[in-house]
Amino acid sequence: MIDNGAHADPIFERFLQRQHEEGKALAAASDLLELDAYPVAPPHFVATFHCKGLVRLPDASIEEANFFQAGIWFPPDYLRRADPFEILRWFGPPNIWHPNISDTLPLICVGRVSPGTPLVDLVYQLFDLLTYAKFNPRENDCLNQACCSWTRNNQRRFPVDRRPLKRRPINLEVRPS
Amino acid sequence: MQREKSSHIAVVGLGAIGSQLLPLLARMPELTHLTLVDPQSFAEANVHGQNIFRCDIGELKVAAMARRALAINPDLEVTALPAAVENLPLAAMRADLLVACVDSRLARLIVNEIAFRLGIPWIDTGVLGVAHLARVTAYFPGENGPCAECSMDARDYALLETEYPCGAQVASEAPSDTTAVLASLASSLAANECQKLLAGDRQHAAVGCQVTVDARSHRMISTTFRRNPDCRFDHAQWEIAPLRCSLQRLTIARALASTGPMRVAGHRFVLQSVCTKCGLRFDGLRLDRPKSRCPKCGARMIAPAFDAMIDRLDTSLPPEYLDRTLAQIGLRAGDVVCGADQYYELLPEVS
Repeated sequence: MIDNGAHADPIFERFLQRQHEEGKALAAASDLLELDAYPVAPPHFVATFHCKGLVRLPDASIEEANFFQAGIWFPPDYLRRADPFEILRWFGPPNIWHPNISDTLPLICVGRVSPGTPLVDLVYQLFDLLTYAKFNPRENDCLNQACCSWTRNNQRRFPVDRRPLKRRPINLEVRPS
Repeated sequence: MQREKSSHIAVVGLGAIGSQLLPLLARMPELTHLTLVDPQSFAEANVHGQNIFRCDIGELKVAAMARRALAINPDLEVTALPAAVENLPLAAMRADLLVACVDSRLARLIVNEIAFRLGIPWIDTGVLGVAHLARVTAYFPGENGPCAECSMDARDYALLETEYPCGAQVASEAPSDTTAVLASLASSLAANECQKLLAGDRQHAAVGCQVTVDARSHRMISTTFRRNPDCRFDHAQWEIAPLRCSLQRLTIARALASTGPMRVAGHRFVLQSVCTKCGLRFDGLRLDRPKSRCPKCGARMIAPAFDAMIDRLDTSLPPEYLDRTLAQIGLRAGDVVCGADQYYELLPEVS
């Protein structure tokens, strides 16, 4: 048989397996992240974040929300070429308020994506965007122009969530002595 | 003059080095066929650094250089392909030797891949103007030799040219600090290797070896590469069978019956595309090659969801897609498709 399967390359197969394991480990160590793998074509991951981020409500007010989803796909040639237009997709909510996430198209711009960038790194980059730890509010280099000037004028609010991605709640029982 | 054997060289990139190399190749008596690949036209700024005349300004590089080659040797067969190498059907690059005269790291990797898939030796040239360096390397597929990716690590891959959704068009493009003098030196080195490889003198060619001339200190440095077992490229050479068909008549359903599930390596099919700037939307299955641009505003178009992007065609496609012809979805003569157990080159029917 020839290389006709989407991921028949053994090096890429190992890479995918590693991403799966590292992603699972990160999600297990975080109460702000869920990571699901979807083996259907094309096989992809869905990252669900429960951190605080911003959305724009119908009355144009900007409010905090805590449910965000993005899709991550590694094409078969990802170790050698990475096209940021193909790898990441914004799943929702559609009223996300961030200069580098589109509110009209499923587009996210996390900045540099080198070939072979691990899943965990992409998840961290997404988390940094959502919590406004990272943003680029230049109108000529953004995906939501309306959000740029708002972002520049509200920088004292950022990051909107200071909790680290990697942490677990500890169930402590405090007994009075 | 009757030649004993035909020799065919394909040159990718007709800028600083390519434009210097062309006249040298055209003067090689053993050469019978040249294929020229470059999507650009000559501009005013090229006159100082490239081997062109003022009358070439505004003309496609492949057309101007084809004319030059024929002026030197009217017996040459010249094929001019005004396209980016990644957008050409794989078999269009079939030759006895490929020469890459490109300043894009990504284009260099694409030539490397094409050469290995087709089992063709290829020559890479380059200059580093700031250090007065000119270099040449030859690669020979299929014998456990190194490829151009064998010496690359994650930092090198990070330097590949990329387009970003936020609007920045290209990042990390290789700096073009070429001078005509260095380009001429690199092209002479490349022509010398071409001559050796066409003559079958592999022993003295720079196979798996980077020869660098330091023009500042008059030194020559030779660096030998070995195949890297962890190389990200699989180095596979494909055995390709001809598939004669009418691309205008053969439907996907009938093609799948012959080939089994089918894909085009390095490219994807899309079922829907939407402009990232103005939102213009197109429905319908097609090969996303070249990466599509909006006809209205020129911005990049994308598949709006993962399930609108498919790597291979199979019988699970909706019937309205299965009835489309190969030409309708963007396949061209010379494309190599990967079937269930064989690679097929799409060839036009013989009338």
